[in-house]
Formats: sequence, C-alpha cells, structure tokens
Amino acid sequence: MSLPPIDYERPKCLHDAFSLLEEMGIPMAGGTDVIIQLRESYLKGDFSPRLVVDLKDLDELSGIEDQGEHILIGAITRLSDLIENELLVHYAPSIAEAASRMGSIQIRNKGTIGGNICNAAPCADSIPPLLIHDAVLILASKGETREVDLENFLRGPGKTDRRKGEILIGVKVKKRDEGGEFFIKLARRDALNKARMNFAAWLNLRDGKISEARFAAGAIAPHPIRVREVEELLLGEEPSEALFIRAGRIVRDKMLEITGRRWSTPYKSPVVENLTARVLSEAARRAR
Amino acid sequence: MKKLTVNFTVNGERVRLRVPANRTLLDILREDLGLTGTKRGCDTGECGACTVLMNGRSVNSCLVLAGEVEGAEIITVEGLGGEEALHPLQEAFLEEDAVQCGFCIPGMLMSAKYLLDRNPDPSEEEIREAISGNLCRCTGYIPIIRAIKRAALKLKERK
Repeated sequence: MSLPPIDYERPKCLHDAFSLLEEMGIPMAGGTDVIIQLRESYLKGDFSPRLVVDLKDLDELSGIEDQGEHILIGAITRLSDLIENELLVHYAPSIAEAASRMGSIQIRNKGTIGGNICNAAPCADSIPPLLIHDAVLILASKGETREVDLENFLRGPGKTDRRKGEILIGVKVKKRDEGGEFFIKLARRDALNKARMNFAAWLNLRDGKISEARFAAGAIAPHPIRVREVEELLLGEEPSEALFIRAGRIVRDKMLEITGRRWSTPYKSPVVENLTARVLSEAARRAR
Repeated sequence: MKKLTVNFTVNGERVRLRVPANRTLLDILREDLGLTGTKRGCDTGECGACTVLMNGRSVNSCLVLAGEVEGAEIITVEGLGGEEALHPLQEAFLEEDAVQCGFCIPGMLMSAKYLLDRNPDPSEEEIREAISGNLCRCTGYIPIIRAIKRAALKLKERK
C-alpha cells in the first residue's frame, strides 16, 4: 500500500544492471531504506514512476573475502552476516559489533552494508567502524572501476560521491592485527534505534605509548567523520584518563564548529566528551 | 507500471501470481492470498507485526517488494499450526495468557520461531533480544517472554 508506481528489475549480471541504472533506475540492495523512502515520497505527493533495480542476484557484490592485508565485504552482504563472521570478529570486531546494534533482527536480515553506506545517513552505524579501518569503496560503472576512500565518498546527509549509473561493489577494510578497537553508540533506547551519536576508535601501542590511532564519530556532523585532531593529539602519548578527556573536548569543539549551537547542545556537549573518553579508554585497554 | 509474475511457496504451497510491482509481500499475503494472520502495523519496518520467515530468516514483510519473493520460501503464522494442531509456541502463548488484543502476536510468534529454530535453549536475555523488533502495546512483554521459555521446554520434551 501507498508505494508509488514502480517497475522492478532484478538483473542477473552487472552489465544488465549498468544498463538499467542508466535509465534512471534506483539501485536497491536490502531495500530497508529504499522502500521506506519510496513510500515517504509517495505520501508527499510525488507519484512519478521509478525503476527499482534490485541488486541481490549479483554474485560480484556478495560475500566476505580474505585478501591478505584487507577484508573485502561485498556490498549486498546482509548486516546479520557481518555479526558472527570470523574474519570480522577477529580483525575488525567493531564492524561486527556495530552491525549487531543496527535496526532489529528483521532489518539486519534484509539490510546490507552497501545500503547503509550509500544511504549515507549521518547516524549510519557501520560507517565509524569502517572509517577506523581505512575503508576503501570499490565502485563500478560501464567500462570503469574506481576506488574511493569512504571518507571522501560521504558528502552530507543522504549525499555521496556515487555517480549516476554507478554500483557499489564492495568495501575493503584494513585488517587490524595489533592494537585494540571499540564501538560505542548512544540512542534513546537499546533496540530498533537511531544513533544519537556513535563513535569508533582503534589504538595501537608501542612501548606503552600510542603509536597509531584512528577515531571516527557519527551523527555529530552532516556525515560521519574521522577526527584527525584527536588522532594527532594521541600519537606518542601514554594512554591516560586526562589525555582522553582532552580528546573529548576536541570532539565537542569540532561538533560545535560544524553544526553550531543547537537546542540539544547543552546535553550533547558533555555526552560527546564523555563518550569519546570512554571509547578511547576501552580501545586502549584492549590494545594492552 | 508493468505487472510481474512471481512464483514462490507460502507455507509449503506453491503460488503463482501476477501482481503490480509496487505491491509488498505483506499486500500479497493479506490481499491476494487472504492470509490475514500477518498484520499491518506501521508499514515502515518498525513494529514487527508483519514478520514472516523468508528463506528461513525473519523479515518485515512490509519491506519486501513483490519481485523479491520470486523463488522464495515464505512461512507465515498460518504455517506454524492451525486449530487442530497448534505449534508448541502457539500452545505456550495460550497457556501463559500471552495474548491480549493479539495484534502483535503473529509477529511475536514468527520472531520466536526464528529464535528457537537457531537456538533451542535461549536465555531470558536472548529471548528479549529476539523479540526486540516486535512492539507490543497491551499484552506486555513479561507473559510473552514466559510463553517463549515454555515453548522451548515443550519443544525439547518432544525431541
């Protein structure tokens, strides 16, 4: 009910998918966002016909593959298949953890990681953990395949660098053999929630000092971001509560710089500070 | 808008239908097949009242397009059991008074079945997690959780 008139195609090969997408098709992976957006646009009075191109039969987009230094996660891999995947649990546990906290079981059984990336919600839970794994996206169109850093791909709420006719094939994440990582999410309730904020951090220690650091935050800016000022602050320092509190203040200032003061700022500022400190100290604890 | 021909099975029976592409699996079940056990709640994948099993996984049928069901195996609450032979989950829900208005129950049953299919001996925490995508506004979750525990015991005894 209340879906606009659509045509539906489920191409069996990439070539056919490219052709269909050139004709103004909307790519659909799991559909848990696309179908809702179609319904919303219909309710707002947009009855224009669309072509939904269902990508679920494209083998090139499925599976989780060990590529040595990287793990390649196919774009149509369902969120529920990330949670217990051995490669991810071992080398990228924050990605598995984030997946387990998304939507509901029903949503995770249908929603995909590629969909979560391309939908580009500011609060997308998969993105901060992908950012701390230096995620690179593989995008293909007729006659061209390109790789783009996830960080540069995100442009704003629902906006990405995906070009017309392009399909996200998969996302390549760096394995973390060393160090420790953590994902944390704050929402109004535990299940079926949208993150008010989400953070991911990876720290590596050498001789008791932080030798490598990644820190990413979601929902505090138009798209999830890596906060390099935090990473720079941490390098060469010994992990300590005081250090992580300083990091929290940097993230708070970054949020204020990007979004300005809002009605929620008095609540959000101390929470951003505290959660930043918490995610960093847990990552440090795991790195030891 | 082109119509689609879709072939799939519902509760073990083969179905072949010609439907507009903007129908959802929920529309098909309720309107085309008369299987009104599956309920329409929010129509946005948040309430879980329309939960069915699709190829063994629980999904919100309001978020499944007609074309996606091609070749799929669907189990609805009608496929669990009927009046003559109730499924242990259905029996347990009756015995524990875990049904008040009943609107959320078909979805609860399907989420519970999905849990018990994979985990025959769930902890209370696991049961809570398993039904966290299903909203209930009147029965209350306590009797529902009790019923799922009871069903797990019944299923174990039958083995």
